[in-house]
Amino acid sequence: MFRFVHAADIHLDSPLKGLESYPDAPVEQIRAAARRAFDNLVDLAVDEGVAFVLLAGDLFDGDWRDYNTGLYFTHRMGRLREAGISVFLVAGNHDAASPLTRALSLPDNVTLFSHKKPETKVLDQLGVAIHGQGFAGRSITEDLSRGFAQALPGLCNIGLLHTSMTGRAGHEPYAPCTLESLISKGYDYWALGHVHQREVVHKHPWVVFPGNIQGRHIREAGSKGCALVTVEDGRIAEVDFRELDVLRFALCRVDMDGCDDLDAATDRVRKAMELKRRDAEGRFLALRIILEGRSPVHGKALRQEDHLRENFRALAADLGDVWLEKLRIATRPLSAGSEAVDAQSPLAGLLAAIEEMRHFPSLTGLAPEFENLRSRLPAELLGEADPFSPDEAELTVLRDEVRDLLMARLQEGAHED
Amino acid sequence: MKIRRLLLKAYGPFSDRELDFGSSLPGLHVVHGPNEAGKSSALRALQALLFGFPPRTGDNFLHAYDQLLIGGCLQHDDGRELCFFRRKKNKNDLFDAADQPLANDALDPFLLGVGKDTFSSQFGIDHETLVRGGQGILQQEGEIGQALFSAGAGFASLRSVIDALEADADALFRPRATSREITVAVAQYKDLQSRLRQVSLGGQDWLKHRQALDHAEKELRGLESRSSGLEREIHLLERVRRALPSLGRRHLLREKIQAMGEVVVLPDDFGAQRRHLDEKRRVAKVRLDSAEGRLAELEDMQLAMRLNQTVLDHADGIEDLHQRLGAYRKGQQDYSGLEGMRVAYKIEAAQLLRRIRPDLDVDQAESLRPGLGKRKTVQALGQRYEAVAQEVRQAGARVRELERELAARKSELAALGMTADGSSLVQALNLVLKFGDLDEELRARGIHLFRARDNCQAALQRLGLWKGSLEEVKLLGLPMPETVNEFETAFQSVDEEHRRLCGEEEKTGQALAALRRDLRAIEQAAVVPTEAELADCRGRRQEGWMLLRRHWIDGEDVQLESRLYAAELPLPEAYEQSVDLADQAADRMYREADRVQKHAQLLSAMEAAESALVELRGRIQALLLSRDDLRARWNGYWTECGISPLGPREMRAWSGNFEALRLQVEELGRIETDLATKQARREELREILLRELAALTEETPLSGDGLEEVVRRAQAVAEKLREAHTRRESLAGSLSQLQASLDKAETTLQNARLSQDEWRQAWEEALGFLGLPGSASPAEAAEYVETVQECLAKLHEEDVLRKRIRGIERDGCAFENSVRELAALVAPEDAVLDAALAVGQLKGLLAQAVRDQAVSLRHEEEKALLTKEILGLREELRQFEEGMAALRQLSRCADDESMALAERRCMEYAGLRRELDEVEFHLVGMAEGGTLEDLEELAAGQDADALPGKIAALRAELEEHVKPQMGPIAERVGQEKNELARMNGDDAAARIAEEMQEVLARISRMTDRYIRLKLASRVLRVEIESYRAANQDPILAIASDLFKKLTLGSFAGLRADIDENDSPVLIGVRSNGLLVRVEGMSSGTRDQLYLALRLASLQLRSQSTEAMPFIVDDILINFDEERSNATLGVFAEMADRNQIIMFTHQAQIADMARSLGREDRVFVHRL
Repeated sequence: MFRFVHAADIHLDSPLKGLESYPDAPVEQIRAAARRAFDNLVDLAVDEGVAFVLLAGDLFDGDWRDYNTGLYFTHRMGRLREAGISVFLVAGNHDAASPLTRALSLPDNVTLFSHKKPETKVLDQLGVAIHGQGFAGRSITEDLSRGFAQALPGLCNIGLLHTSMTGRAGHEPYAPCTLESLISKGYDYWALGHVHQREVVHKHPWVVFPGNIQGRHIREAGSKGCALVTVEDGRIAEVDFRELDVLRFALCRVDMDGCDDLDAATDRVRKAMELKRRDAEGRFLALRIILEGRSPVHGKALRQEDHLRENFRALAADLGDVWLEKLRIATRPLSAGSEAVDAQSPLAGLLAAIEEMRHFPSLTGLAPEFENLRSRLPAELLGEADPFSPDEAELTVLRDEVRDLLMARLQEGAHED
Repeated sequence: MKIRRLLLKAYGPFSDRELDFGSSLPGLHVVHGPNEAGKSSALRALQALLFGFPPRTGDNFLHAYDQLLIGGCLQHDDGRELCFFRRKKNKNDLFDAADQPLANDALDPFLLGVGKDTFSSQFGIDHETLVRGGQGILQQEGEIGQALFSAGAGFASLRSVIDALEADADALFRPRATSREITVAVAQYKDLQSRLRQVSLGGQDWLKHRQALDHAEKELRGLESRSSGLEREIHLLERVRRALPSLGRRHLLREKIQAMGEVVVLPDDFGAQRRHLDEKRRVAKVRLDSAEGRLAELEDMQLAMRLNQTVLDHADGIEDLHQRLGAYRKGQQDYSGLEGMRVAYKIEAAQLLRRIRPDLDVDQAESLRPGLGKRKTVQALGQRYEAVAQEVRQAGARVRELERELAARKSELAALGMTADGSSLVQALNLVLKFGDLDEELRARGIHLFRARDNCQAALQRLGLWKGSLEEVKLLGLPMPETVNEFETAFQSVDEEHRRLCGEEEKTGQALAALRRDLRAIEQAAVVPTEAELADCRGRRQEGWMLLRRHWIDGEDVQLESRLYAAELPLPEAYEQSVDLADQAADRMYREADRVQKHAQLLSAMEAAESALVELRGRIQALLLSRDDLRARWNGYWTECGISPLGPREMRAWSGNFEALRLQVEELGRIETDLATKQARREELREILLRELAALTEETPLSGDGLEEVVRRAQAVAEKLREAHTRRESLAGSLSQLQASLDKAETTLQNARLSQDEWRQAWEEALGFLGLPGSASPAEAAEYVETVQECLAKLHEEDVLRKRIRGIERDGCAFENSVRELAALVAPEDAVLDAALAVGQLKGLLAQAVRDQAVSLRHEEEKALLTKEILGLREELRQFEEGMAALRQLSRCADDESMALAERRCMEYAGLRRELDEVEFHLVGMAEGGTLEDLEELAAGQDADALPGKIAALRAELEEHVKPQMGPIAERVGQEKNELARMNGDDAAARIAEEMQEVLARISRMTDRYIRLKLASRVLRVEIESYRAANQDPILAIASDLFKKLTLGSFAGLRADIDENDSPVLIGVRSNGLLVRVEGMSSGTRDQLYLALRLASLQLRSQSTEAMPFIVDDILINFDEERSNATLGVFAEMADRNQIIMFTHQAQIADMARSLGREDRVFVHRL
C-alpha cells in the first residue's frame, strides 16, 4: 500500500484579486496565500509519507517573471527530496508561457515530462507507470492523450495531463479530449489539471480534476485543495480530498426581508458572516456580501451605501479573519407596488429610458469623460471584465443599479422612509 | 379613481369616524380640522388605506397595533366600486366589508399601478413641497425642462439631484484634475508597477551568478592545494631540525645504562615498606612491656582487699526490715489513742442502757438483741395505728350526716301535700293555640273589610253616569262589549267619511278660489276676445260686406241700412273698420291663443269645481243625518239601565271600570262571610277554656269576649300544676337515694371498728416480745427500740477497737524478734537493744559491703582485658619479624643494614631509564606517526647546517606567491554566494503584486461607481429634455391660464424663452406685456407658479387618462385672502374632473370654500 498526492493549477505567486484593502483588513495575515497553500501541500505530502506527488500543470502563472518564485519552488522540492518523495509534473498552458519554466533547474527528485512526445516513467519498486506529456506552447488545441501509450500490464497506470476535456465554463478549451478516449487507455487514474473547480469526472477508472489549491478571486469560491490517493495491490483504493487553502472566497447572500432599519440589517449581516466564518474552519475568509429581498431599507441602503460598507468592514474587522471583498445592494422596495410609477408621470419615461438603455447602447464614446477615464486605467482592468464594455448579464446589473441609484436620489428628501 | 368614503374605525385619535366624499361630481372636499383634531392622522390614514400601514406608526396611542382599522370606498371611472378595510398586518391586511380577506392586488385596478411614493409626490402636495417647489424653480433658474419634469413627477426640485450626482462623480474622477480618487489610485498602481520591476529577478541573472561562482570556486581549490603542499614540506624540514638534539641525548643514555651491569630491581615502595615494618616492630615491643607491668599491679591490689560476705548474703533481709521499720513506728504511735476511744464507747453504751433498762448491766445488753427481731412489726403496726382510728371516726360522722338529711327530706315531702290533675286543661289549651292568634286576625280582617267597603264606595262614586247602591252593582245588566264595538266602528266610519268629505270640500273650495284668482289675473291682464266676440266681429264684417256688395255689385241703395249699420261713418269706412276689428280680434285670438285657451280651461275647471262642491255638500248633509240616527239607537241601548251614555269608546272604558267594581264588590262579600265564621269559632274556644278553668280554680270569671286573656290565665294555671308535680317527683327520688347511702355508711362503720380491734391485739403481742407493756404507745415503743439499737452499736464500736489494739501489739513483737535474730547473725558483736537503731546499723554495714564488691569486680574486668592485649601484641611482633625476613630475601641481603645499599643502586638505575624513555617519547612525537628508526634515517640524510636555509626558501614561496593569489578569489566566491543568497526565493515581488491587485480592486469599484453616477446623471438630463419637448406646449398653455387666475391677473400668463445660455426658460408675462424672469418674482408668486405647473400637469394628465384624487395639505397658510380665494376657485373649477381633497386647519378657508357658492362641487367636512 502506498499513497500519492495529485494537485494542479498551483499558479505560484499569483495574487488574490478583487480584495480592496482598507484599514483593519487582515492584509498581512493573508499575504502570499498561494505560497502558504503550496507549503500546506508539501507538509501534507511529508506528513502522510506519500510515495510521490503529481502536479498536473500550471505550476506558475503565465506572465509572472520573478525568478524568486522558481527558487522558492526548487527549495520546497528540496524538502520533498529530503523526505524521499519524488515529484512528477507536466507543463500547463501557463507554464509554457512562463519565462520561469525555461530557466528553472530542478532537483533530481523532480521529473518534468517532455512536451514533445508522451513519456512513460516506470517506478519498479512501487509497480507504477506514469504517462504524461506537457504543453509545448500556451495554446494546445490537439488531443494530447491520443499519443499516450496503452496501459502497461501488471502495473498501476497513471495518466498526467493538462486538459479542458470537452470544455469547462470559464476555462480555455486546451488539449481537448473525451472521457471515452481517456478510459480507452486502460489506466487506473487520470490526474488532470487546468480546471480550477474540483471535479471527479469518473470513478473506476478515476478521472479527477483536483481544482486549484487556493481560490484567487470570488469566482473561485469554496474549499480548495488536492487529492490524496491510496493505492493497494496496484489498484486505486481510495481518493480523498484534502483542503489546503489559506483564504477562502465566499458569497454571502443576506435576505433583508423584514429589516426595518440599517441597524437591523447590520445585525443580520453580522449573523450571516459568523455562519460563513464557522464554515471556513479557521481559514481567512473573503466575503462578498449581497443584500437581497424586498425590504423597507432598500432606499436607505442605496443612499447610504458607503456608510453600510464601512459598517460591514468594521464587522469583518471585529471578526478578525474576514475580509469584506465587496458589498452589493440588490434589494428591492418593500412591495412591487411602491416602485411602480404612474404611466403618465415623467418618471415612467425615465424608467423606460433606463430599461431600454436607450441613451447608452455602448458606454465608451457615450461621454467624453468615459473615454478619458478609460485611457488612464491600468490595462489589467480593461481585459475580459472591461467596465466600459459590459456583457449582457453585467449590463442588466448595471441598468438595475443605475435605476436604483437614480430613483433613490430622486426620492431622497421627498420621502424619507 | 375617486375616494368615496374614508372610514376611521380605529386610528390615531379616531374611533368610528367617517368622511363621506361621495358626490356626483368628483368635487373639491375641504376637510377642516383645527389643530389637534387629527388632521394629520386623517391624512396618514388616507395614505395607509391605499398603500398599507407603515411598519411603525405613532398612530397607535389610542388603539393598539392589532386594533388599528381603517376602511374606505373607491370608485373607478367606469363605475366599479370597492369598499374594503385595512388592518395593521405585515401581510394580507385587506378585508372586504364582510371581514373576509381580499387579495393583495385588489386595489390595483383603482390605483392604476401607482405606488405609494409616486402617489404621495405626484398626487399630493403640502405646504413644504409647495415652498420647496417655488425655491426649486429659482434654483433651476427657471429652466423649463426641470420645472416641468419636477412638477410632473411631484418633486420639488431636480437641481440638487443633478448637482449631487455630478459632485459625487467629480470626486471620483475629472479629466485633467490630479487629486481625484481614481487618479490618485492609478498613480499609486503605476508606482507599484515600477517597484515590482525593480524587485523581480530574471531567470538569466540567476544563472550568470551561479556560473561565476562555480568558476571562482574551482580556481580557489587549485591554489589551496599548492599552498598545502608547500606547507607540508616546510613542516617536515622543521621537524628534522627540532629532532636532532634529542637523538644525540638518547644515544648517551643508552651507553650509561649498559655500564651499570646487573641491578636488582626493587619495587618502588620497597624502602617505604622496610621503614614501615621496622617502626611497627618497635612500637609493639613498647606496648607489650607496659601491659605486663599493669597486670602485676592489679593482682597485688586484689590480694589486699577483704569482702563482708555475710552482710551481702542477708542483704534482702536487711532491706525488708528497713522497709517495715516505718509501719512499726506508726503502730507504736497509734496505740494509746485507740485505747482511749475504746473506753469512751463502753461508757456511752452503759449510759444508754441505764436509760431504758436500769436493771441490766452493760455486759448483759446483748440479751436485748433478740427483741429487736420484732422491730419491723412494731414499726408497721405503729404506722397503721392512726389510719385505723381515722377510719372509725369518718364512718361515724357520715352515718350521722345522712340520718339528718333523710329526716329533712321526709318532712319536706309531708309538707308538699297532694295536687290536682291539669291534663284536660292542657289539651284544651293546645286546641285553642292551634287556631293561632284569633283576636289579632279578627281585628285585621275587620280593618280590611272596612277599607274594602270604603274603596268600593269611592269607586262607585268616581264611576259616575249611574246612581245605585253597592248591592245593586251586582245586579246591574250592561250592553254587551260586542255591541259597543259595533257602534264604535259605525261611529268611526261615519266620522271618517265626514272628515274626508269636509277635507275634500275644503280642497275643492281652495282650488276653486285659486281658479278664480287665476281667472281674475288673466282677465285683469287684458281683455281676451272670446270666440263669441270674434264671431260678432266677423258677423258685423259680413253684414257690412253684404251691404257693400249689394250697393257696389248689385247697385242697391243701402243707405238706410248703412245708417243702421254705422251711424257715424259712411259704409265703406264702416266696413273697413269692421274688417279691421275682425282682423284685430282674430289676430288677438291667434296671438293670445294660449291665454285664451288657459282662460277657457280655467272657466271649465271652475265649473267642474263648483258642481263638485255642490255634490260634496249634499253628501255631507246626508251623512250627518245618518249619524243622528245612529246616536239615537246607541242611546236606546243604555236607557234600559238608566244611563245616558257617552260615545262608544268612552262607554267601553266605563263598562270595563264598572266590571272591575263589580269584582271588588263580590270580594267584599267574601270578606264579610269569612269574618263572621272566625268570630263564631273564637266564641266556641273561649267557652271550652272557661269550663276547664272553672273545674280547677275558684278565681273570678273573666269579662269581655277576648280569647287571649282566657288563654293566658289557662296557661298560668297549667304551668303551676306542672311545677308542683315535678317537685314531688324529685323529692321522692332523693329520699330513696338517701336511704341507700345511709345503709352503706352504717356497714362501713362496723367494718372499721372490727379492724381497730384486730390491730390492738397484734400490737399487744408485738410489745410483749420487746418486753414492753401492751399499753405503750407506738411512739414509746419506737423510742425504746431506737435506744436499744444505739446501745448495741456503741458496744460494737468498742469491740472493733479492742481487736485493732491487739493487732498492733502482735505486729510490734514480731518485728523486734526479726531484728534481734538478724543482728545476731550478721553482727553478733554489736548488740543493740533498740530495734530501730539496730536496723540503721545493719543498713550501714550493707552499704559498705556493696561498695567493696563493686571495686573488686572492676579490677577483675581490667585484668581480663590486659591478658588478652598481651597475647595480641606478642602475635604482632612475630608477624613483623617475618615481614622483615621476606624483605631481606627479596633484596638478596643477609641483614637489615645491607638492604639500604641495595635500595640506593636500584634508584640510580631507574632514573637513567626514565630519562631515556622521555627522550624517546619526545622523538616519537616528532616522528608524527613514523618510527624512531625512520626519523633517525631522515635525520641521517640531512645536513644540519643547511636546513634553515632550505626552510626559509620554501616559506618565501608560500607567503609571497601562493597566498596573495587566494584572497581575491575567495572574495569573489563570497560575492557570488551573497548574490545568489539574495535571490533566495523570497516573495517580495509577489507581495507587491498583491498590493497592486488591492489597488486595482479599489480602482475597479470606483470606476463602476463613476460609470453609474455619470449614466444616472446623463439619462436624467436627456429624459428631462425629452419630457420638455413633448409636453412644454400643452402644459404651458394650461399653466399660463392657471397662473393668471392664481395671481389674480397680476400676471397675464407664462411663456417659454431662451436665456443667454440658449437654455429654454420660463418667463412670466405682465398684463402690460412686460416680461419677468423667475428671479424677478416674489417667493409667493414662485410658489403659485409651481402650483400652476403642478395643476397643469394634472389637468393634462386627466385629459388622456383616468384622474386620480389630488390630496392637498394646508398649502394656503401663507396665501393672502384674495389669493386663497382664487386658489380655491381654481380647485373648484378643476373639481368637475379631478377629485381634490384638501385638508386645512384654517376655519376661514372652510368658510371661504362654503361662500364660493358652488354647492354642486364644493363640500366642507369637519373633523
